[in-house]
Amino acid sequence: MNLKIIACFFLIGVVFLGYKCVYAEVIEDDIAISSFQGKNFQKPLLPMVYIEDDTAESLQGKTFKKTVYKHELLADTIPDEYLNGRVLSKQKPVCKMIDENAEIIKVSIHPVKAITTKEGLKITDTVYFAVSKDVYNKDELFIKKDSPVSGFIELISPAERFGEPDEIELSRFLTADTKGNKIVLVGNVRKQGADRGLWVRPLYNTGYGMPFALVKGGRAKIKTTDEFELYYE
Amino acid sequence: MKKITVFLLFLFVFNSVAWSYEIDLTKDGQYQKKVMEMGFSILNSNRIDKRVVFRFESSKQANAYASSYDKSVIVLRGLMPYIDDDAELAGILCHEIAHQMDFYEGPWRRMAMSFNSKKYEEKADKKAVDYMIKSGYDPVALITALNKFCGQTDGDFGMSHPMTSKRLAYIYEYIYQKYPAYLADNSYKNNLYYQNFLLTSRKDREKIKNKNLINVSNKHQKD
Repeated sequence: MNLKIIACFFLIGVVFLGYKCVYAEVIEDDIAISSFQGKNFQKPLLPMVYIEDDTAESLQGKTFKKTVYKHELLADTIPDEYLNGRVLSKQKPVCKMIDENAEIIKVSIHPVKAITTKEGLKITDTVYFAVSKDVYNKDELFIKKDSPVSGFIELISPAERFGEPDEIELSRFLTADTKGNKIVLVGNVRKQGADRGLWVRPLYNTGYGMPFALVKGGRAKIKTTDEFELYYE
Repeated sequence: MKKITVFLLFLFVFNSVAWSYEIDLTKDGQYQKKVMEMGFSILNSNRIDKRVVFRFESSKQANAYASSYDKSVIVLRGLMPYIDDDAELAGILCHEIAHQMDFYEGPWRRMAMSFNSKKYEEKADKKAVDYMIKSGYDPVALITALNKFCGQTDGDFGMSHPMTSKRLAYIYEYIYQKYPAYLADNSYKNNLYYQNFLLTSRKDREKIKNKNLINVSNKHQKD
């Protein structure tokens, strides 16, 4: 009985081995070998085709800079009292510095006039905000209230069927401190229009609401009363 | 004696099968490390404060996907023959990370993504370009990577992704408009797959050129 079981396993093993052999087999192109053996063919020498990017050519003569991001160390923010004299190995530098010990100054901003995707905004456009209240750095006035802030439209994701709204994302905010130095504010502003999917999708799913599939979501609008918090570090 | 011989033969056969899998695992381990290091570097460079993990799986399919269940980005082994450099792999990872950021918006957003998947694919492609720039990779690599392994369907009605030619065109347009330096001084201009993209995208690129998207006076672009 035992021998039969072992023989059975052995057979399975042989099948597996056979499968492996078939799998690893290199299939020769025997038709080509038999047809062309002894014949002398030469591969044609053709000039290399080079396709010019004539769209990108329109960028020539203009000055653009490739953005260089510094590769720095991630700060280890474990307080000294937890280390108890232990030596911790330094982390491998992998990316940008995120120094949690650095003092972060919060800056509130609001748009100078309403920003809406209805007005044909496109990515890379500049839109204007103003600082909502005086910003202090160690009790010293750092950025005055109403200082102009410019923002960059990073992405506009258009409204779609099924009640999907427009979405707008802004970043790269720039302003100036009281001494006139350029200040880069970190953070994003994201806003989306009315999400009509709340009622469009359930209606569509009932099976009778097919026409509702064509309803698009609302336009994104940033009102002058909307406030956003950015920071400077 | 006979029994012992049969048993030893059995062990030999099964051991050889098991051993061949171990070799595969070693290879996958290297890819896993690569994908993981690159993925975390992209997350940190972009200051993405949401948890995302990266897994390499031994499947022959040429694909990568984002799992909304455990917020992981999964790269399948079948994709690797299509990847020629780090920037191309980074492009794929950045696209999936962008999907994860939408998954983090909650179940309502996930439902919206299933209804309007093409819109979110476009958004993920564009966000991928931004993530690549911030983590130091050339965004043109996203074009070469997609041009290699995404086929061309007759249309995209009812499909989860836009037609590949459309995807390549809007990625090109996004780079053209936002990061023109990467096209003006293009490191991929002699790349075989980029050349093929140029060959197949002439009409789309002409349309982009005629849109007059470049705004050189924009101080944000100068910075």
